[in-house]
Amino acid sequence: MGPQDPARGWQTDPAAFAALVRRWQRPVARVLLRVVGDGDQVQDLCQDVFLRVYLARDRYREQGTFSTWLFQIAVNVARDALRRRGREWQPLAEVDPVGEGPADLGCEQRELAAAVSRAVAGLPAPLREVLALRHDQGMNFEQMGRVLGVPASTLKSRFSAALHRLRDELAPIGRSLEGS
Amino acid sequence: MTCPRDQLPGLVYGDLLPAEAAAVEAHVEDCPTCRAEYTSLRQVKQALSATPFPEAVVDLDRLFQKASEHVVPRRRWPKRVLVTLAIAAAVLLALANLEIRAEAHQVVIRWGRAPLADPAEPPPVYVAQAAPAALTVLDERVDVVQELSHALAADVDRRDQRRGDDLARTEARLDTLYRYVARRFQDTDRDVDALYLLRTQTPEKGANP
Repeated sequence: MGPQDPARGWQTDPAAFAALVRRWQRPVARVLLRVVGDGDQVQDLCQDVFLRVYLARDRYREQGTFSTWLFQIAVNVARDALRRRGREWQPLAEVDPVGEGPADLGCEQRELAAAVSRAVAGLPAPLREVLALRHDQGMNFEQMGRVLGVPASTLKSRFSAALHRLRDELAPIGRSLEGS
Repeated sequence: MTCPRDQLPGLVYGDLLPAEAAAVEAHVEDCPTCRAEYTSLRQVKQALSATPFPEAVVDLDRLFQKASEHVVPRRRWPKRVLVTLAIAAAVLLALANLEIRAEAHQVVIRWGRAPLADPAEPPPVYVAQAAPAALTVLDERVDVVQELSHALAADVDRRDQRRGDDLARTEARLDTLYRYVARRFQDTDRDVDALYLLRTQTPEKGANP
């Protein structure tokens, strides 16, 4: 059992399951926000992810890492949400990506954050998935391949494409980026 | 070294092997284009890291409550499978020449063909004998079933007879129609021959024009 794996007994002990939720709810929320691009939905989607984890706990086998299994569920929940919305990515104007972000952020920083989030929301969903798992979770491409069921080489190309597109999208606000 | 544009994201995120990273870094130092791109990709990474994320706190009470309400969907046989099984059962019954008959005080189930001559061994017959105490009620029920089956058989015979009569009438009509059409065809044929002879006949010498 690796350091990322939850404590044994989480499948049967509610207290252990609660500890697992506290450990993983933040990383899951970050992935959901990057992929879905809507801050208002993250709370409900996060709840949905852990409900599915709880309902499927008897089917979990310690063959890979727990995080692989967890993020597979999170990605599926995000994809279901996007399907319900009816499109894979939204026009920039319709996204409220930051939602209720921290109030202590300066005005310029909030604008920059909003610009970055809008740029991410403008990417196709497969690129957002790779970005979320590589940048926010620090997964390598082999781990990502197990989560997404896609070859590592394909994911490398997607990640490179995502960064270059973001670079092009954010180029007009280059001075702000230098200061971030 | 050609510009390793594809490797720049790997350099920014530390995905390159040490030897690869060293080679790309050396190139970036010497190439203004790659240096500018590398710098902008690093800025993108920093901007992504600076994105604030809303806190999401899972409501465990609500989660456990929803989990307890969750009903595992009952596995149902698809309709197509049920229909196929029913048809297969009916075909097997028909192929096996299965006969189920109610007689006085017993229900007889017979399968296979009845022997043409007296066999050395009688065909196997399973007989369910009713308990003596329920004979009267069972007798009545058996009588009702018998009457129903006789009535059904008589109805089938009547319908068969009617259908046979209808078919005979239709056949007769078709026969009449056929003879009429044949006669008309012969008449038409004769008329065409006569017209042809009239048109092509040459007048004899001395005949009036």
